[in-house]
Amino acid sequence: MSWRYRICPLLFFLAFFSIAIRLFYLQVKKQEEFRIKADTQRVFTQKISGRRGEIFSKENLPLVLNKISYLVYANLPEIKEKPKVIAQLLAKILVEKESVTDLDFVASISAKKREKDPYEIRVIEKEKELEERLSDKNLVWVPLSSKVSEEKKEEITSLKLTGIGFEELNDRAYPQGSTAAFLLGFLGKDINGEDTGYFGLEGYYNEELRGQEGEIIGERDVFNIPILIGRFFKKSPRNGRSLILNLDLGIQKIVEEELKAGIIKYQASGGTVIVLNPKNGQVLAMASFPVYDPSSWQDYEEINFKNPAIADSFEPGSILKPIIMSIAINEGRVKPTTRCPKCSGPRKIGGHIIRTFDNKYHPNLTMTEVLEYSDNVGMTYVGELLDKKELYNYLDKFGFGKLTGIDLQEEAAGELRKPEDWYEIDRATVTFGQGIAVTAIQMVQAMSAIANEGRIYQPQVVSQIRIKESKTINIKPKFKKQVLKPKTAKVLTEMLVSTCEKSPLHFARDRIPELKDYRIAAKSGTAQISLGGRYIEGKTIGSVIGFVPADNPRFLVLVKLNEPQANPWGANTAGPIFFNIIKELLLYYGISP
Amino acid sequence: MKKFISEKEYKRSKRFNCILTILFLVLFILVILQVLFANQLVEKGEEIKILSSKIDRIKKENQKIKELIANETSLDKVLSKAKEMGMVKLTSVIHLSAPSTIAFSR
Repeated sequence: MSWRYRICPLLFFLAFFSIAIRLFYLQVKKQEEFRIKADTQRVFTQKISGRRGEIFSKENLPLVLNKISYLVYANLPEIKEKPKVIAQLLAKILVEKESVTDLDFVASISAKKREKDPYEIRVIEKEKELEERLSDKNLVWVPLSSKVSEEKKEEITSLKLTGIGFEELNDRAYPQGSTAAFLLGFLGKDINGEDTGYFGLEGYYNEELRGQEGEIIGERDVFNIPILIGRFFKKSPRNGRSLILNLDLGIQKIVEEELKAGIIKYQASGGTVIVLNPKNGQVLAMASFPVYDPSSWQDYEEINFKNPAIADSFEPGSILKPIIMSIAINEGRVKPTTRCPKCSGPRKIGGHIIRTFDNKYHPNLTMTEVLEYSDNVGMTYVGELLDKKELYNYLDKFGFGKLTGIDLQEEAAGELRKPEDWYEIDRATVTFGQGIAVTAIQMVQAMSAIANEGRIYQPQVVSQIRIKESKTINIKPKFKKQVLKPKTAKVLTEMLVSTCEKSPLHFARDRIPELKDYRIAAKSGTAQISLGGRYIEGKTIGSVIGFVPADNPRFLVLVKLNEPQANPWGANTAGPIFFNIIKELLLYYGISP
Repeated sequence: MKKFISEKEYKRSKRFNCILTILFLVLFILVILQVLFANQLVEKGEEIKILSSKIDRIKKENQKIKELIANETSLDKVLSKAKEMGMVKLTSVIHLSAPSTIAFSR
């Protein structure tokens, strides 16, 4: 019996000792490994995205809002049905019934070819594409379609297809359609898959608009329920800042309607209109056609995303003449009444013959008449009174050959060659707007000096940045420089009022009786289009630039029409569009003569 | 052989046992309370999960409503509604200048 008293405690001790060793091994030696495994099962990290800032017009009407859309994906190992069957079911839901050809023609002409096909053909093509992706044996996860709406997601969910899932995407909604599309830009992804704005305001203000991600780190049980007594850490997201623009939606609509009607009427390939407040550089409207639909930008060729108003340069032609004239008057080389001694016929300069646009010559023209007749020969006389370097420096001061600094992405600088590279003929041709490449926004900025007592302000699209509902930052107008003396600006204004009344522009103006009592300062231009150093026969850019009321300008308007087939002349094509817009703006603002 | 202790020692040991018993009871109650509290928190955790889902759902609905309002009040819609209601576009304005003073009364 006594041996049991010795053996039992020993056995108990051994058992206890083994358990202790095992516990030591599990809890001390393997502590890190099991802690990591436990954390993986228990600890979750949830990203909370900060909402991207939105964009509003001057009247606080939404131009760009956030919305949720979905990426539809397939987890191939979980798919039970045949790829062909799934592809047939999904294609009918995913393909939009409305083709881009159902949209306005000015949007459809820039769309990719396949998006113009009828619905049935697009469904068949989509089926093929989906079937191919679903049949790929090398992949586990494949995206099927992105930017799918909530309604389509529910339709797909109701099909109860296994292996088909959805991932939430941040997307943008455009309540005003493609209005101001070039100004707004669009939201895409960068190479890391992060939301990034491209072109226009989305691109320029990407950092302001982008929110900052937050996160929650916590513990959850096997049923995915948070364990409140466990670890918990929260970093709140920061929402992006919203933008309030100087853009007046009413004016933008007026401008787009008139431009579209003008493009159709004069059979142009496209056009641009800018409306600016010359007193502070605020952009009240900016429109170009053809345009793309920013909500489905993937359906368009990349070439269509650049804003022609700031990215396309062109030879301005006669609309540059007031600028050149203002330089000569500012330097005291001529006055409005100075007569041109060289205007009786064509001139030979540097081996080239300079003629007027209609080959008609008027001897002894005054400088005002040079503008009224848009006399190229008269302008070469003005140019000769200025030194090459002087002319160049002034053009540089007006902002040509460099960025205006407008708050939109993808602005181009145009081209202004250095005076050392000018031959005699170049000095002559620049006086009537050839041999220099400008953008529409540069032209508007330069002309604003004449409208605003010689002062230039930087063109500005955004008026306020909204940080929270109760806190906004005002973007003050940015004064750039005093380019002309106030007296010079006044003189040029009178010359342009006379030009508007006596040049061929007056035909377009006289058709609108409501404008008869208003003093409008304006100049038309017709520029040839060059390609590879030569001018293309029969192709022109017709434009008109001006401001009203002449004595206290409220807005400055530029209308530019590309390749109008119905009539090549700016006064006959851009002119009517210009005056229609002016009439609507005067009514809209209730401005009396 | 039985050991005899004094009355004083007996009372002291009885008091010590009493205190020990009370301490164990308190500890036991605290453990029970902690278990009950942890159980309640588990329920709260579930409530939080349900509320979080609800908040997400409501936020999404709000976003959809905001988008719907923006679409319904877009300029194109307003213009088309105005046209349907028979409103016409303003085509001209008559400007009246303020009459100049002819004479002041004394």
